[in-house]
Amino acid sequence: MDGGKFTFYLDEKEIEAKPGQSIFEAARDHNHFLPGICSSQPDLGVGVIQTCDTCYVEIDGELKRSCATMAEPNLTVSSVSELAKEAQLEGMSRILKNHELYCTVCDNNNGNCVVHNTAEHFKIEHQKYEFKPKPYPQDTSNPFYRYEPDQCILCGLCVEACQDLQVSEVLSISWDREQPRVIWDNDVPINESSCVSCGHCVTVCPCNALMEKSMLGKAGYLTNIPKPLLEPMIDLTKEVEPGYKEIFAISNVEAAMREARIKRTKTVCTYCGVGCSFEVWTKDREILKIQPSPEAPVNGISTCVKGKFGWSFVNSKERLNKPLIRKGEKFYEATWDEALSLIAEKFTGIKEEYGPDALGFIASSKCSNEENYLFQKLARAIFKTNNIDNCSRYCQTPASMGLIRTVGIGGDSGTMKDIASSQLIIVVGANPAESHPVLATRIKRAHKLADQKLIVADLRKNDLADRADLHIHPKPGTDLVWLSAVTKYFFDQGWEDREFLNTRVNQVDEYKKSLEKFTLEYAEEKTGIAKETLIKMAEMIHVAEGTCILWAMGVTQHLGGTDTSTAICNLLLVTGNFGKPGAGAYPLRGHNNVQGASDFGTMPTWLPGYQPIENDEIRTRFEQAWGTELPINPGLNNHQIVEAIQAGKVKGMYLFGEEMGLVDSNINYVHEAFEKLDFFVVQDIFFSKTAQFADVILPAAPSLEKDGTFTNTERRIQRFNKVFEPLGDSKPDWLIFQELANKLGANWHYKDPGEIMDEAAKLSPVFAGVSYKRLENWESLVWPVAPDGTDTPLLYKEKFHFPDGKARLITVDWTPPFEAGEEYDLHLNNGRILEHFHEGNMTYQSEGISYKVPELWLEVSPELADERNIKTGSLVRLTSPYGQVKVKVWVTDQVKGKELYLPMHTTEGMGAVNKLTSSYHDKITHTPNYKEMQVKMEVLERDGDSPLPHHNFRFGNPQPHIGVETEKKWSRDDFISIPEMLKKEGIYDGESDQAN
Amino acid sequence: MAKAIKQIELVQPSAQEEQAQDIAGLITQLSQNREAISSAIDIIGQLQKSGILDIIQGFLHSKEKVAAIAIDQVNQPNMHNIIRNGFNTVDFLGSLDPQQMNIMMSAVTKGLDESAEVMKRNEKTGVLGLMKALRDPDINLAINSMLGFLKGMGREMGKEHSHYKTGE
Repeated sequence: MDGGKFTFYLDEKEIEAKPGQSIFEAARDHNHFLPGICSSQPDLGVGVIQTCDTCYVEIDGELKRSCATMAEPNLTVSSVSELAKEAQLEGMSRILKNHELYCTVCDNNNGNCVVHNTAEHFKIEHQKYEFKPKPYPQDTSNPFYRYEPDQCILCGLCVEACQDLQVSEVLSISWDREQPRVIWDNDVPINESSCVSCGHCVTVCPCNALMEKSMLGKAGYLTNIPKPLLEPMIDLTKEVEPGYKEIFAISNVEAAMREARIKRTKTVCTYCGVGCSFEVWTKDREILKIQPSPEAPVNGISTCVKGKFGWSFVNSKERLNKPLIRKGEKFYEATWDEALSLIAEKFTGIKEEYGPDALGFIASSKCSNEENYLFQKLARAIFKTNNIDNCSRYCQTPASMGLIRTVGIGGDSGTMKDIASSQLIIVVGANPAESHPVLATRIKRAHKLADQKLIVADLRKNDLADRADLHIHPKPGTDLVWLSAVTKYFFDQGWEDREFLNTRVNQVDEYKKSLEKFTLEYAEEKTGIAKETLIKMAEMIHVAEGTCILWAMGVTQHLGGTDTSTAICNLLLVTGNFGKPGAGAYPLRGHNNVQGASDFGTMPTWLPGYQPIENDEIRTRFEQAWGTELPINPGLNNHQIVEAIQAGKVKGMYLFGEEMGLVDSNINYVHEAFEKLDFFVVQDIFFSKTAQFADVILPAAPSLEKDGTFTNTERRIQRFNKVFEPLGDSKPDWLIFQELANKLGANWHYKDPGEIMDEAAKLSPVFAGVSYKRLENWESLVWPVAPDGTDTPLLYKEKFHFPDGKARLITVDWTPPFEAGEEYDLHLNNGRILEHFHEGNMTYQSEGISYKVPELWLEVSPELADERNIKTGSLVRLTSPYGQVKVKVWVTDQVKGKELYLPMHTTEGMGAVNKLTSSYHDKITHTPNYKEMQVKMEVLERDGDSPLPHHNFRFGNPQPHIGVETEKKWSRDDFISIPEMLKKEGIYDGESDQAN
Repeated sequence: MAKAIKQIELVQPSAQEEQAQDIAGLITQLSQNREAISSAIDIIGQLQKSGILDIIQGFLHSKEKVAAIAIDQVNQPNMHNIIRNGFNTVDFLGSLDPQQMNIMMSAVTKGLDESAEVMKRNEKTGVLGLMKALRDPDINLAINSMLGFLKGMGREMGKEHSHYKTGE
């Protein structure tokens, strides 16, 4: 049946279309060009906005907008008839009334300017309506981008992007004014609005009205001309204006010349696990802008403030660019040869004296798959130890474990597509709007436009909680209880997916029995959630065709983190929510390569591809490939390595790309351990807190300075390409590992990371078909990947990842959270905020980001502020049994009662939340219980400046509505539809389709 | 054993060392591009001798002022006309069919040759002679093509007049 496809005739060509497709879309899909400025972003997909009026076609003698007219079988359409062209031209002329063409001196003249290209297509010779500047000055108040009303064609793409794709709901067009313009919030300067600086509006702007400030005066050869010279030049051009044809010719030459000096390189973002990809535009070592593309598999044109504007750290003066060796109380610069020889000598010495397991290796979830692969090969094949782990131990290992126990694969069970198309999203202990911003946009959008339902279980009223149909606030650390109670209620009502359980799941009866104690009453008592609310939740899951559960650190960083993750999987199994589109389990990975670091074997028990090291057959395969014997016994994880250092068993450690000295819990204890090491190697791009304890510091190169792949939260492998040469003497991490290995006689000859990936793919069945060839341009692969390159976006369609193909319901019990003792009367919650990443080594280097968020704060509820007589700006000291921090207060109703929230972003010791956290951990995976701490608070200074500047988006005033509201344009007195106008001029006598 | 420390002793190359390094780099470049460099030096020498270098130097030192003056000069009605006429001329030449143009040009050449011949003979032509000449196929063709030319020219000129359409 071919999905009901049919054909119609456009300009005497037969064109195929799908039902429900507009003429414009069908033409675009078949590379038949129709003008259409406001349809230039198919990714917005909110329907058609009909603001530009350049896409008119003639059908049976009538004028129709091709973007708003559905294709029908055998329809005959002309876009080139005299009438159609007259209408299109009128549309374009109206646009040029709002936009001055000075392309050659415009920074947006890079070959992809939609207004330029459309005007050129029309072979426009002269301006029909005189261009008139608008009575508004430029708005340059935001640190990242500027709005120039004079150039704004009022197409409203930016408004669509802000309202309906990013769903920050900041932008509108003020159609009711004499001279409309784009406004922010209720018409305030951009900098004082609720704008989160995600860059969507700038990316979709089809001209130069919205532009990245980093482009201005930089992109063109003639764009940096000072104003007193530029203005007469534009005047002159207009005066002698021989017609636009010549102007376009010159501007096209200039645009072509720009290509020679502006390099465009695809990269993958490193600021969270979502895996946005985009082009970096550079001129020498200067970043001109980040340019997203509709072809990017995860994000399309979406970005967040960090991905769009947070890259200046790459050229920071503080980057390490020479190896450093500790001598006495100082570090001294050294050559690579000196540094690597010293490491080889010291590690060999420790290995010989105390045995291989006296060495520990900590890998990085910020670095590439290839680098993680090579690091574990270095640890296992050269130093003969399995003491290797990565920082997913701090965050997501419990989630992976919960999944591995129940369904078999420790990763998201579907992709963003499933999240976007699901009927019900449940978010537990996660704040995607700030920690996974682009993923959150898909939820906000589906919730706003597609009637997707949303339940949020969180202590804080974060952005998604605020929008949710149901926001529940369980007592800290009790998620397992309400999850189990809802599951039990399903069984009690007979709502469980019987057939699914019968045919695809083991241990059902056992598990069902284990739920007995989780009655609604018990759950209400333990979690504080009313019975009615629990029932409401069960009902929402029951009526939804598919449910996705998303979770993160609010679940995993507890004593019972693995068990709660397991309870989530159990609930999804009982309700039949695996193996079908729009459903499943989604642990949201926090860093760009949390998934990949574990996938590629930096784990103490697993070789790459989750293959147990203890399995003789598997280990032998690796031994044969690597030509050496490998250690059999599973090694120590992060947490155990720190304990073993304290116990004097681990003497040497090699850590790369990880700020363990700030992000591990109970850092005072960790610092103590670092001090006890005989020899400590730290490899980083910055002189981190951890590096201060090192004996040798090696300067590494960030993602923009090397090639490689990352694996995002969806299990999607994507390539990133080298933009710059490594700064100074720094080197890509994989090259450093190879050079160190060769110092020890390894004889490795990887010419590039592609060869490392080939080796990993050969040895790991789940990556069998992965190759750089298959990952070129915007291509990506979601593992498992079969040898022929077929990938697996949706898991478990036919079977679960166990020998018998059946999932397992695992019995789990609730572990009450850690209690610090009665004197610690406030609950301490912690996590991320939108603008900064991790401890902030990279994002504080961005001037704009630091201007928006210069320092850390402590969120305090209005109730508690009243009780303690403190206010925004007060300075307090928090004390836990493990340490103290000093921090300024922000009073906000995002937090409730006696619950505090302290973000983790600090490169200084002062406010570091992990001075307060303990060394207790999830009993199965040893992930620290970061989210279980109580503190007491002392007021140090009652008055002070707010830690959060007034120009932060949190103080804005969003104006939600749907899209650009074109009907308001049509109802203006001075608006006359193009068909109507042509009729008046006697050019057209068809039926008018005014204002549709 | 190893306390956290923050002090880094940078191997700060002295100013001389840095300079020496830069110079070494430059010398390598020079020796790799010997011929190009010596030609360049020669060119610069010539420019210096002829005083052009001085002019360029003066211009660069005040380039924005000079450019502003230049733009100001260019931004005059006369200049606008010159530029516009320039564009028009280029347009005109571009719109001509080269083949027709070729025929016309060789016709003009031939005509000039013939007229020179006639001048040499220094003859007079009476009314009868004119009538006779009109029957000459060559002369007839030339006159017809001239009439065609006038017709086209007149039509294009008439477009400037609003009442012209009624005459069609």
